[in-house]
Amino acid sequence: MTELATKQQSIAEFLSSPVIQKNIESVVGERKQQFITSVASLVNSNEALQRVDRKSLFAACLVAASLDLPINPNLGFAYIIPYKDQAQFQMGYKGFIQLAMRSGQFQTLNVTDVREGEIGANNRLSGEIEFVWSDDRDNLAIIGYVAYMRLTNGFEKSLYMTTKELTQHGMKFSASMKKGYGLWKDDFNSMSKKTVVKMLLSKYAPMTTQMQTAALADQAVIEGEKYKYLDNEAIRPEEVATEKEQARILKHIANSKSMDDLELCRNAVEALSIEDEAYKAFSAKFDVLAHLK
Amino acid sequence: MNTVDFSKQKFHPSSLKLLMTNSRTKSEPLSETAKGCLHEIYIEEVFSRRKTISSAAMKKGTAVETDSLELLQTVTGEVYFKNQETIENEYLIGTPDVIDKKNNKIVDIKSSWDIWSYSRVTGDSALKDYAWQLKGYMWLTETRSSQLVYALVNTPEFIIDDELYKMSFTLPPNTDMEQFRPNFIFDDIPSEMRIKQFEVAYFEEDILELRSRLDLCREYLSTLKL
Repeated sequence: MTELATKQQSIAEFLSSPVIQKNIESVVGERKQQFITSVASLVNSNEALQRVDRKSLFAACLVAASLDLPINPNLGFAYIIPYKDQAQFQMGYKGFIQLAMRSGQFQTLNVTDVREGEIGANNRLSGEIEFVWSDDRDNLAIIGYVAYMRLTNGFEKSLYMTTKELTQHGMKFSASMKKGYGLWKDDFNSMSKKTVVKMLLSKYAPMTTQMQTAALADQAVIEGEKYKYLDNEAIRPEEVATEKEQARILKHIANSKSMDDLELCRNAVEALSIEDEAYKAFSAKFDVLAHLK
Repeated sequence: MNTVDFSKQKFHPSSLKLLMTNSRTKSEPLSETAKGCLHEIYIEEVFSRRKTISSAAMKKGTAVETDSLELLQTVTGEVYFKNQETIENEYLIGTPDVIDKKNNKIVDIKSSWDIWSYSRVTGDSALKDYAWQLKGYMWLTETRSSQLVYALVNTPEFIIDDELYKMSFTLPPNTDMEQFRPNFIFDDIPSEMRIKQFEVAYFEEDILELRSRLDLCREYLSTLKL
């Protein structure tokens, strides 16, 4: 509890520094206090967010504020997600709908799941699909998701993706889904809805500056003007190998019962930096075993 | 473009398999395979262009090296850790997988892609492909024995997912891709069946042969043009 309180306070301290305060004011103006409260509340409710880099957390929250979208995850407009040691900005499908409707150019923008038997005719030439909506659909399996928009000038368009296509999309663009966790794994429904809405808007809709920012910042760690898509970066086999070897060395050190055991990993440890966890563990174990000897 | 003195060129032991292939004619000491390899080295050194080859099997080989060493430990009790040090001598430069200083030995570990490629590994095929590489490493590390190890370990999830994703485009829609996942997982097979070990002995004559062949390679490199 004390440790948690210290971490909360350190985030509060971070937000209260004059440079950060000025930055907040320039983006949200009079809503400064509301912004600080919402960031503090978000961080207090999510232990993983307390451990991420504060600059990335602040930048992600600031993007949400600049789009005037709440970051309360229960509302589903925008999310701040811990990923590795960074905070990632993530749009919800409701956020995209909100921004689109605000532009005043949309008469309708909607998204829904599609259940078994609800696909009628599929016009391959126009790419349009006719849907036959069931009344009693709760027990039917979801086979895909469709987003639909109609602009005030009468232009209308829909975009449909099957659950298989959406799974493949998630696999392709989210390293965490490949590893079996993250939003795609936990909330496939929301991520699928967001994907079809985002793709429909990106392809066919007039994009306001805010919508462009939202599309670019979605799933990114924000560093100044740059967007880094950490979750979309390919997993590097070299990194996997290094992590595994590191874990194996640590396990060996912990299990070493004699100096001879410990010496087996000396060369591997000597190749590491003295700041490395395994290097420190080796030194500590060496001292313990030498003392016993 | 770089100015390179090829008379001091150092070679990677992994290229020895190609450089040491014998020519079909006695009048020509270097084989066409060796010449092809030397052309690539020439382009890399002079024009800083390197052919990038990346395959799922290569990714697996890199990612599971520790798993293979762990499996070897389970089966034989030999505890080895990955060597990180790059070593060079007058002719070679490289990073052997394992240097066992205590037993004056190097170990090179190969992680097979799947059960089918693993089952095809025999002493003859393994030594044909890698004996010169191991001899090169022994020369480089001044060790006097070496071991070539083949291991069959699980493919990491992120590589399986990539493979299943790619495969899904070649199969009928709605194919259950998960049925193929067991093809990438092997821990149901007894550990001792998943390790194959081959010894490569050290002979001074091999080192003399390497030295003389690499001299020819250096000479050939200095004659090359784009």
